[in-house]
Amino acid sequence: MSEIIKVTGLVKHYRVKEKKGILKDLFSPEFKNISAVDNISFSIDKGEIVGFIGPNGAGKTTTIKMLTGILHPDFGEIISNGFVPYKQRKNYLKKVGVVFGQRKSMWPEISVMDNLELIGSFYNVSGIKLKDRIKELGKLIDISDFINQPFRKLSLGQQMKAELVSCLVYKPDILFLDEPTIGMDIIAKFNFIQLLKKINGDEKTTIILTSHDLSEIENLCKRLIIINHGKLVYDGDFSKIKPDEVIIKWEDKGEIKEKRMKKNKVAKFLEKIDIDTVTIKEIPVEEIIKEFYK
Amino acid sequence: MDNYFIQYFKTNVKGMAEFRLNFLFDMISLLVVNSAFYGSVLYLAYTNNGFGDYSFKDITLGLSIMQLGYILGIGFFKGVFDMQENIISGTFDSLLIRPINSFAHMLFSRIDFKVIGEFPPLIILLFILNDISLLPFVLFFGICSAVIFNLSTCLVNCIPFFIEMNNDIESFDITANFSNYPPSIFNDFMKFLGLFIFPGLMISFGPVMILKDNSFAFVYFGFIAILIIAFIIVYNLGLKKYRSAGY
Repeated sequence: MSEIIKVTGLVKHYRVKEKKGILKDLFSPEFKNISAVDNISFSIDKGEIVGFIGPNGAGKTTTIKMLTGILHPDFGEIISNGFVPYKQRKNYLKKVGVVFGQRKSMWPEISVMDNLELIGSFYNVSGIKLKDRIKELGKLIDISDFINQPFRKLSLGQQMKAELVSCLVYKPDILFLDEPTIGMDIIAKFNFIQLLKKINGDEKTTIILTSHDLSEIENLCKRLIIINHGKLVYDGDFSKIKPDEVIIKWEDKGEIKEKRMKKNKVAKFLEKIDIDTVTIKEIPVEEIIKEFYK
Repeated sequence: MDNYFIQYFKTNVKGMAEFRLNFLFDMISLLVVNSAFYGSVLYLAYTNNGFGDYSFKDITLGLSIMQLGYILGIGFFKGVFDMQENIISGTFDSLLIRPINSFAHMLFSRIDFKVIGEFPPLIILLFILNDISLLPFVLFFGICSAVIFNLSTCLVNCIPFFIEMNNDIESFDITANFSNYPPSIFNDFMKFLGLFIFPGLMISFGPVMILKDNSFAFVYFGFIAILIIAFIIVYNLGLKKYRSAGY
């Protein structure tokens, strides 16, 4: 697969005021620089789905915003889909979709269809071309039930579906999703994940997703990038950080016992104990991720 | 891509239709407020036979240009007035994720249809002016006024790009106050403020000053040129400095 995003030595600082007391803050405030993103480098291939995770304030959103051209990096280089996003923003964004879960881009007072017509006009997708595309997308995301309702009256899940359709009408090569499932219920989340899988499969769209929900990332992304304190702390297959161990619980003479062991040794161990009382549990991936967040 | 401003117009009409009663109340309130304001200023000018070297006709002409300038500036390009809040809150992001010029996006994104309530006072002012030969003058300088008003507003609205702010700077009220009365009532310092710092006088009586002294045209159009250049530089620098919200 060919490389679609290449990030080299990306740095972004923010200046924040240090709290030193009311009078000092008023007359001689002191500032310090915070590295929101500190020398990050990675590359993403066309058609990949990459999970971008990290604790709050780790620099995920800042990185996504630099990748979409919203923010200018202080240092470093970004080449995405053949463009430098912050320098060639207008041309670059013709083939890039961006969804921010916490910030809606659609107009609240008009219907979803009107919103799609407006957004389509930015990308030269209008009239029959737009209607055909919505119909085509209907196989993946059905928004027909609420397409004529004002955006503000939709549920959170419906709003996210509408936002996603608004990005897909112009067939983007890359889709950036920043916490897109925030506030969604379990079913809506599950459907959303299935939808992204379909989009990636059918349209070969490269997807970069940030989320705090690890199960969501696990279901969707083969590759994981973990960022903490602005630094890249892991970049690789999700499966590689999955623990090779399980937790076994069993009853021995009325006493509950627990043991962590390698998966390949479980079968042999089970021969030695009362199998009727055994429960085997995977080690939650959160436990492993927690180590990266420290 | 060239039809996005038509789509914006349609979107605004639909948005207005969704809250039509709200729009109606706003329109009526504007009509009442403006009529009361122009009525009182013109009554004063009429009973005092003008202010200083500005006759009743000069004042009516200045106010007509100002009214048209505000209609065009505020009514059709309302998005400009949300700029500060958008930058402070980080919602400016939504302008930067589309493949169009972010300024054009902002400029055309909001039309304030309640501005229709501003038209009757303008028509009354033109009726009082009672000089059809001045109509092209009003129209041309009304557009210039809108340009001055919006560009100076945009320049102030760019401030949050560079400094931390949690609230809008209200330059609009100061500028509007300077535009309400002829330059003859101000001393030299206040006149300078009203012409070049909070250019309310440029919006209303600048064109009348050109009629009185042709050489002022160089100052007037030079000021517009400086505003345009300053805005392009400041806005583009601002985009580089934009911090959005949240890490």
